[in-house]
Amino acid sequence: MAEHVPVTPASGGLSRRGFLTTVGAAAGVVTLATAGATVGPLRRLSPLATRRATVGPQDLPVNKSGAAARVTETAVDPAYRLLVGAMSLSLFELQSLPQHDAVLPIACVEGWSAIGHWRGVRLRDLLDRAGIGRDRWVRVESLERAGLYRSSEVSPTYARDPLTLLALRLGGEPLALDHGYPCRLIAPNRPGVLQTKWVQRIVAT
Amino acid sequence: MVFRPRTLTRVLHRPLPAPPQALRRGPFRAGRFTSPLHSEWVAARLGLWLGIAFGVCFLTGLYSHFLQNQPHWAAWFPSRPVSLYRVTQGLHVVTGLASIPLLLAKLWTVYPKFWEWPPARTLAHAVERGSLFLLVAGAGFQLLTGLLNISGWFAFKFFFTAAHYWTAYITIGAMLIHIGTKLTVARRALSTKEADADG
Repeated sequence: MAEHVPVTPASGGLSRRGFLTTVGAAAGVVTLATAGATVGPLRRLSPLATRRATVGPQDLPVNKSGAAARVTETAVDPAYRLLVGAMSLSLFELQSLPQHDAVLPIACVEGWSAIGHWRGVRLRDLLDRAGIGRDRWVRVESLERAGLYRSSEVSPTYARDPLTLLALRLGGEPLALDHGYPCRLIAPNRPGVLQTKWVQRIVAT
Repeated sequence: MVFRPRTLTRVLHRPLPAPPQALRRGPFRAGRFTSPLHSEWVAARLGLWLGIAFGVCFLTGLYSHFLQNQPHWAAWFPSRPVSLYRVTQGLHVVTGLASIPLLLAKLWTVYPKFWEWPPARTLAHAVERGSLFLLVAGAGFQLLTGLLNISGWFAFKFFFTAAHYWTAYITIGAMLIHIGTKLTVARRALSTKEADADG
């Protein structure tokens, strides 16, 4: 564009700076209207947020329910056993092991996140009892029969972190079915889809 | 055959024959677009913002991908701070969403260039314009599939994660080529005050 054009059009349209400001403001509004899904204080400013951080069973959002995962019967079966390597535990035996607390977020790949108060058995305690070495990667498998996220791999760094729990309780109550009853994996700094629910088996890989 | 960069350069920059003037109609006419908002001054600034947003979005996306499919070479990924992924994935979604109005405005600002005359001055010019197709298509695909995915509307038949991951490389690659070809123009435009801006 070689010829000189006036910066502000004679018709009184937007100036270049005005146009930039408008676009910047639009991007800012989009950000504020959605960021409340993960930034708590912005929650009331975010009508377009995909999730409310406190809406769901036990005040925590859920992406996949127990019904969607088809575990409504297997998860509450009194004959449930957790397998860790060659070790097998009933729910009561799991509840009798030393319990620990962890305040950890569920941080979904879709951008929302919310804090939960979890209580359960440290993963590293279970691995030690089952004789699984400190340098081993483990796979945590769900009762869910099909589904992309029915199992997840855990590196030694995560498996040995004292905050990594096989959680039995959330907010002072037993886990709701939709949060992974009878027990679920909860680890720090980990995408929500890898916090495997309705855990049935933990094996070294 | 011996590779001669100079020969390649000569071929790439040899002027192509101009198409007949009779085809220069409609949007191809000179002076067809008169708004001063179609300017390098605006495009360079929107481009800078988009480049930053896409860069952050790409890096946080890679981190998320390699956390979800953690290879053994990534065993060093730390489990602390506990909220790191919360922040990186929040940034990923926020920069992606903010890019939607930025990209629409950028495309509107530069769209008269789609009717540039002649359409290809040299082979190099043709290749550069062809790579823009990848950039526009890739960026549009990433922002649209990302938006649909966070909305839980799985309207597409393909597997979101794989498509979103591989298209990211195409888009960022095309963006780097675009930055390379526009660097001189953009630097000049960014150092110009609005009142002096000509194009």
